[in-house]
Amino acid sequence: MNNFPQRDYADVSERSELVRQTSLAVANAQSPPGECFVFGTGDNGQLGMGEDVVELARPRLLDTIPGVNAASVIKICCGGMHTLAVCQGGLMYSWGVNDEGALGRVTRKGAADEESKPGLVTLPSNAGGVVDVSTGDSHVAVVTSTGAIVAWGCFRNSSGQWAFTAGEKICKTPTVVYSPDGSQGSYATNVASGTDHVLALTRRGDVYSWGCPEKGRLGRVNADLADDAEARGPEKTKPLVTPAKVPNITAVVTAVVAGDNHSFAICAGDDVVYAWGLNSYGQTGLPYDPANPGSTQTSYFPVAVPSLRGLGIASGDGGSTHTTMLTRDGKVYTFGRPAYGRLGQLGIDPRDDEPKPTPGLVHGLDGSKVKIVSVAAGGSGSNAAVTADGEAYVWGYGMEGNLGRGDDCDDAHVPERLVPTRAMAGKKIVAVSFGGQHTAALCVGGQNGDGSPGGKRART
Amino acid sequence: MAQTPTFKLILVGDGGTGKTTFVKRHLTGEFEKKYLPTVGVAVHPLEFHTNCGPIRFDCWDTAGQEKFGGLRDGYYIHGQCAIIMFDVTSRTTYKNVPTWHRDITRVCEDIPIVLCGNKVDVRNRQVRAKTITFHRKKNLQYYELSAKSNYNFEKPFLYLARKLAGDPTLQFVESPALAPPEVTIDPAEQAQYEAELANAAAQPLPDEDEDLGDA
Repeated sequence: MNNFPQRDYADVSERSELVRQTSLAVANAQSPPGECFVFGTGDNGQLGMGEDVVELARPRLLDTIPGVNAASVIKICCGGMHTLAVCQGGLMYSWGVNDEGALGRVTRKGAADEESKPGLVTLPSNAGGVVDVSTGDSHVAVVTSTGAIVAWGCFRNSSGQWAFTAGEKICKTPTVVYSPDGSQGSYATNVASGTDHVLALTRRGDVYSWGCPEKGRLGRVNADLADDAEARGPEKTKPLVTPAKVPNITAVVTAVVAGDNHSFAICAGDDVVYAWGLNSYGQTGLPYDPANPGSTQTSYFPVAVPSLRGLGIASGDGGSTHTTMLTRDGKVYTFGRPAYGRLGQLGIDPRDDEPKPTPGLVHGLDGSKVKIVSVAAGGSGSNAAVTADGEAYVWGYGMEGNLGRGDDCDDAHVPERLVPTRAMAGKKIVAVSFGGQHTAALCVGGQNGDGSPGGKRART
Repeated sequence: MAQTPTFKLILVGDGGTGKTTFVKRHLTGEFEKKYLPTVGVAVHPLEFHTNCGPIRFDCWDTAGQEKFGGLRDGYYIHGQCAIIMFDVTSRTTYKNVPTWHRDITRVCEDIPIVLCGNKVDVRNRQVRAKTITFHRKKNLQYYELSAKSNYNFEKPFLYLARKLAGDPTLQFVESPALAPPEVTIDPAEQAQYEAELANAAAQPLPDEDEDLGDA
């Protein structure tokens, strides 16, 4: 798959600066350490507080990470039925469902707390610390400080467990799947995951993809091979589960975004967004043809999305069947499946289930009142937008208590402020991540409000 | 002779949970199935014989559209009862159970629904009774199944037949012809799981968050 023209960026540092600025804009790259709060449904241990804490209607501080100060979390990432936290020093902890190896560590059957409370993931000894992480239903991918990518778990396809490597369905041990070739430009900088595929961005601006190819989500496999789920042997599987470059992108990529079965490459400099994968509800932003409904609406290779061009898109997140995008000036756009309020736009009947491929502004998040610096989408159609002031707004599907609104488990059809609990008072919310039925929020600062964890010294 | 009472049964669940394997066990239903190409479904007429006479479920099985994030309203509309299936060996398939339930009730409102955990024949099953609470919150019936061994095949249909007939004492008086079992389950092990399930059902649901009023 490498026979398309190589792009060569003469000035890698210029490109790196662009990535750095974009990363800062999304505010989740270099946060000071903080605390992880969890809420929603966790009857399979996703909340990390043991198997008897199965439901939290409001955010609760996660204080069960063994041997680690609760205020040393630098990144949170929720998967379908599991959760990951990166702590200071690049240490990775995991908890939740481990049926298909998502925890990256051994849990013994019958020892319930080994799944339902955080445990340390041991990365390969020379891989470095974790700098970025993404996860889907059963896999995890991390970018390390050496520019490599370590991954584990399982990619499922439409028939169930499919593959992680050419030879195994499930890989329970963290394994290096990508190594830079020695050039600065080949360092991996970011990863994004769908339910069963991964996108990786390199410093040079290349996008790599691997995992389940069905419905075009890899952006580099033609329809016959992508959707031929039954007839694959190891020789056909290997190029799919091995990171390889996504072709046909002719601008510098500054961010990658994945939804369940769809993918984006954002090129902030050229103000263009490429999309590929499933468009069954208009979730790629590409035109949707109502006369030809359902999963036939698929792009197997990247296509520049006309409706996203020129909006200043800087970052975003993909849900199951919708997408939430953030512009450089803090506007939030949504498109895709509208049901249950997931688009957060005024004028959509919450029972309406017709595809909405045209990006629309989320109510109240048009850049005029609050300054949004990061967005999250996930679960069954839930969303969050985090402000520069450390507030979070949530909307969409709320039936699992996953919007953190107490005993109000209805959907939020337009954004509502996530009201801080007492334990969150005076802290800034800097990131939100949605799992299948649960949610995590990362909070920094404390009584002194200076960005250092409350009452405890930050690492110097 | 009066026409057999017939009910539209919606069968949903993630890809790979064994829905099609399950519905094909019923041999006359498999023999007489009909395709509806416009909606992309196979309709299996599943007939059962009760002490009140025959009952038929027209069981709608998708052609795979559900594997990629949802079915359209045309699949659910006029549904009179439903089965939601997940795989007890892959709890990621339990993730979407609330969404399937939500999509059914959005279109069909208050119809009887059974939640089924399939593949209990697989030896390294992970789901334990206390980790499945959704059906209790929503008052759904829950059964564990093994489609490949025919274990509990009739249970969901009997539950739905009783609800639809409004007769909690209704019985099946003869078994439908089923495909021969492809695997066997360990009866002692399954009896233990059933006992755990019964025990879990007798316990109150764990307390809700005590932080509720702290905002």
